[in-house]
Amino acid sequence: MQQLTLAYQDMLANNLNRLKSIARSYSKNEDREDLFQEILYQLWRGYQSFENKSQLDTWVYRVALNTAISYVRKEKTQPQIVSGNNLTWVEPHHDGEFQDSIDLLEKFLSQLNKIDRAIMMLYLDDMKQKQISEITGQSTNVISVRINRMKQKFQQLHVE
Amino acid sequence: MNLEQIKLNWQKQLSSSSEAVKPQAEIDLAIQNNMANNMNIITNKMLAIDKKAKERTLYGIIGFSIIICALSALNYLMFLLSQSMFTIAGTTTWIVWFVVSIFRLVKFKHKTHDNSLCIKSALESKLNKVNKEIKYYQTLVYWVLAPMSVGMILILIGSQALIITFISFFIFWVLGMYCANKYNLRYIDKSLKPIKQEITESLASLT
Repeated sequence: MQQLTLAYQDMLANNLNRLKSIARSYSKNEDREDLFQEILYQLWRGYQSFENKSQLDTWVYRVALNTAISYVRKEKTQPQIVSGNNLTWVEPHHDGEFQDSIDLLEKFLSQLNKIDRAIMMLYLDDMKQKQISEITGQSTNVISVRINRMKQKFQQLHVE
Repeated sequence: MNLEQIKLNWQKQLSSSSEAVKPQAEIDLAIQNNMANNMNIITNKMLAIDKKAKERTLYGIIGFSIIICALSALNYLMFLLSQSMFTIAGTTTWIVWFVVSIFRLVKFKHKTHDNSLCIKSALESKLNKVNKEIKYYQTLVYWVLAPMSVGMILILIGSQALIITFISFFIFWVLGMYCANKYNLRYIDKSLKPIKQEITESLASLT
């Protein structure tokens, strides 16, 4: 158990920012912690039976995106699974042009449907088309077409 | 701005170290904590959620068992009081219902959703699961509540209870069944249908 916990922590440390950006893209402010916690929990549950059949990065993305895509906001009256010791969301913030570019991308991502958003996030993380295809279940040709369309859309909307 | 440059910034953001997760009560302290401490906090939280989920399942099973045992004991007492054709038929219905519902509940509980599939397969599998859940809750009235009620009513008739006792019990029973069914249908509308809609929309945008 100790070994599993350490391996889980290690995996999480390497992917924390990815997971945060997924939670940020797939939820509104008030739901971010809930979705983030749900993603961490699904990873914890899945990690106990992870068998190295796929790359760890690919597996993490699959679990996180699957959780985020089918995430539906819970009713406010529903009690938290575990109360107290809440995970507090602190937005990362950078200065100047760097932050502007991240904000611009996040704004663009929010305009896409959930599937295109996932593909775009994987593309932005420099995933190869084959990996994106493995994660989404679509052919590399379809992925290529969708990425090109999104790039064109981005250029039309945001290039000065 | 150039997309390739923005892409690089995005990657820098993903690879930078983070202090984003810390417990509410220890915000000041957490600033000084390193990543390892944050990871411990998350792991403990996950362990607590896991434990809580298992406890909930256990309490559910215990609660359900207590209700079923109490009702079965009541039926058995009535059966002992009067072993007429009605009570025998009622008790048989009750036993068959009991076996069938336990079998279906266990079978239903065993179907878990695999989140590590590719998005397309995961969505299809989840849609399939949600559809089965909706059907399960919609038909609960036919395969749980109806046979349970028929069994109870037959036993009551056979036990030759006073008409006033019979009517009071019958009204109480029907109200209970009505509320249980209403609660199930509400759960479908509030929880399952929004999930189904989300999944259907995402699947449509995949194709």
